[in-house]
Amino acid sequence: MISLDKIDKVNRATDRIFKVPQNYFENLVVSILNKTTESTISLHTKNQKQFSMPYGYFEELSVKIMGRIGQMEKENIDLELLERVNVFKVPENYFLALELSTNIERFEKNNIFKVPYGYFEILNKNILSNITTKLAKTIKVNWWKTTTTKWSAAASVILIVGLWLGISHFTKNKTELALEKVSNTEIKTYLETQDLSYLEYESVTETNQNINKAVLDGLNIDKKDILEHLENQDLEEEI
Amino acid sequence: MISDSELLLQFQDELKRHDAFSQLINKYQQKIYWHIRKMVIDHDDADDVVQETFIKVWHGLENFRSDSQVYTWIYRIATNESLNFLQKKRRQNHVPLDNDDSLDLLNTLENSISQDYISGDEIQLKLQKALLKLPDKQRLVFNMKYFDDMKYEKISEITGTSIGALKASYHLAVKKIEDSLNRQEASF
Repeated sequence: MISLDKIDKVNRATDRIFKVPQNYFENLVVSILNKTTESTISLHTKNQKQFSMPYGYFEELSVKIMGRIGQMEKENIDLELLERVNVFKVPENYFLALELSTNIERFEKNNIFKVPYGYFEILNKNILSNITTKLAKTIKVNWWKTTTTKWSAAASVILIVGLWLGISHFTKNKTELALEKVSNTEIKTYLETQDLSYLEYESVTETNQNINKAVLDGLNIDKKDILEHLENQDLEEEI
Repeated sequence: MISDSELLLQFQDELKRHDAFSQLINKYQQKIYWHIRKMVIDHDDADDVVQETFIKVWHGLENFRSDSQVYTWIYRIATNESLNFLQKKRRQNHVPLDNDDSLDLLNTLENSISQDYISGDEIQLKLQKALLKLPDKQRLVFNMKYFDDMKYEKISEITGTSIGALKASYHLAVKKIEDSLNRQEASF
């Protein structure tokens, strides 16, 4: 079995395997230099040959160039000059059908509401009877007739009155309770003699503003509604 | 038919008052009724409102100043009564202010259809439903312009709103309705 390790190192040298002509390397440098000199001469000769051109070349050159430019301009697409063609298609009568279905100005303005038969014949009579006779609606309450109802009613009344008195007493704050014992004359005298500072007035007005703001916020009035209201102002009767 | 000014004169005479008023009702009841009905939708509600309107006319006719035409004045009362009625009905039905106003009247419209108080083709019904989505006052202006074909000057006199605002309101209403109809078409 051949193993690379066993090959003699001496025999591994490439000069033992590949051979060159005698003095090859000594002649190689000269050979290369010679060849470079030849190529330089050759190039020079070619260039000299290129500088010669056909007679009247430059006179024709500008014409040729302008011709080619004109050709290129013709081939260029100018969008502004392009014919505007709509390539998209729709089903036949599409837009007419769409307009008929959504343009309300083209709808027949039919009255869809109906009235009972003979309504307008009796309307006049109804209105006049409302005016000439007073319609007094009385609700007769016969609930005293039953004993149970009578006692229930009495108990309810007592409870309501008791609650009202109790709640009104307990919901009063200490100030209110204290002021109950003070006569109106004394209060009036106190207010006349005291000098209410500006700050006290301010705090009162501030409270009112807060209340108004809270009321407005609570109503949840949309900006849209305010604008709508401005568009259609409140109507007032002339009566 | 006797003119409004003559009716007014007769009204001033106590002996002729009832007769003059009856003629006034006969002259305008249908126009006033339909104006109200298109707002409140339901016939019974319209009946109530139209009667209330003419009762107010009765009470105010004696002092009518003739600054505007009688019909315009009656129309204005009917408009007010309709709007007040709708507000009152919403309060009674506890419809929150921030809710869609149309839901209540849509139910009324559906009930009227089921009671055969409404007849119209599909597109007319769609139009009415789209109309109910408008705020009351905008719907009012739309009805007067579109269905009654009133001039803006007349509508301005009735509503006390400027012509410019009315034009804006109407065109906005038309756009909203057409958008609504488009959406309904697209959903099919």
